Amino acid sequence: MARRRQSRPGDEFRVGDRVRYPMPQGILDAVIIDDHGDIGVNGRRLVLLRGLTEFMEDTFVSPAEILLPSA
Amino acid sequence: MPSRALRHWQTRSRKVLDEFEAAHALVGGTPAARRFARQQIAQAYVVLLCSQFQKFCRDLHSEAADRMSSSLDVPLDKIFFKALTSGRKLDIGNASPSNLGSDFGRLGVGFWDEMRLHNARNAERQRLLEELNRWRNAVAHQDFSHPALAGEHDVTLRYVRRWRRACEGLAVEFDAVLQLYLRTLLKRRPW
Repeated sequence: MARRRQSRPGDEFRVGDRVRYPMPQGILDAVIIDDHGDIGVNGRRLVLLRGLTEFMEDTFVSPAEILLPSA
Repeated sequence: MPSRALRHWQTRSRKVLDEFEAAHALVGGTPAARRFARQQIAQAYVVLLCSQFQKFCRDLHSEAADRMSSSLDVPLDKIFFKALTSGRKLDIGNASPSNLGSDFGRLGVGFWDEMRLHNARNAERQRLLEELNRWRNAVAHQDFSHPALAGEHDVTLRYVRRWRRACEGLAVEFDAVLQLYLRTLLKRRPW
């Protein structure tokens, strides 16, 4: 019988979800545009984000585990 | 052990690409219809090969950047990771030699110089990758006017296989070069 993997922080996010990315001073609103899968350190999940503010529209990669749900 | 990105490339991407090979072999009908269908499949195969290889390169870059930033303390790790991956050319453009050199260069490695030093065959593979990207653009934009295409409009399966072999060779070499670089930098095996 297949074992069900335990849910980790950030597993609930999907491509297209709006999220909040915590920076050392403040929060950045972003949207998940790609899922890289569990390729990070110790198998953590990495996602590609795009910033949603006029000051940060670039794409960047983040571990899913540090993201917060959009308010 | 190879990186996770390489393992994905050698399993999932290979399976997807193999399905195109199978589709190409299964085409039936009259000789003219067969020729047309095979040309369409070969063109789609070029675009798919490029997209799968681009995904591998993006994943490998993310994986390497995560290893590098994880060696730093909080909150510098997060700032560093974001800086290494912000506005990557691989997120908006092809996995061309120049985009790869630019993005992997941000990790601090003289990418193509190291690649050529690591294996003499990588110079020819780099040339084939450039050629593949030219054909990918020609197919995607249906514009075959680039002088390097020499008036050719047809992609042959023989050429796509050649480009695929080059990508397969490059993937293994990218992984090895980055592993060497990160092992020197981090004083431990990154993967």
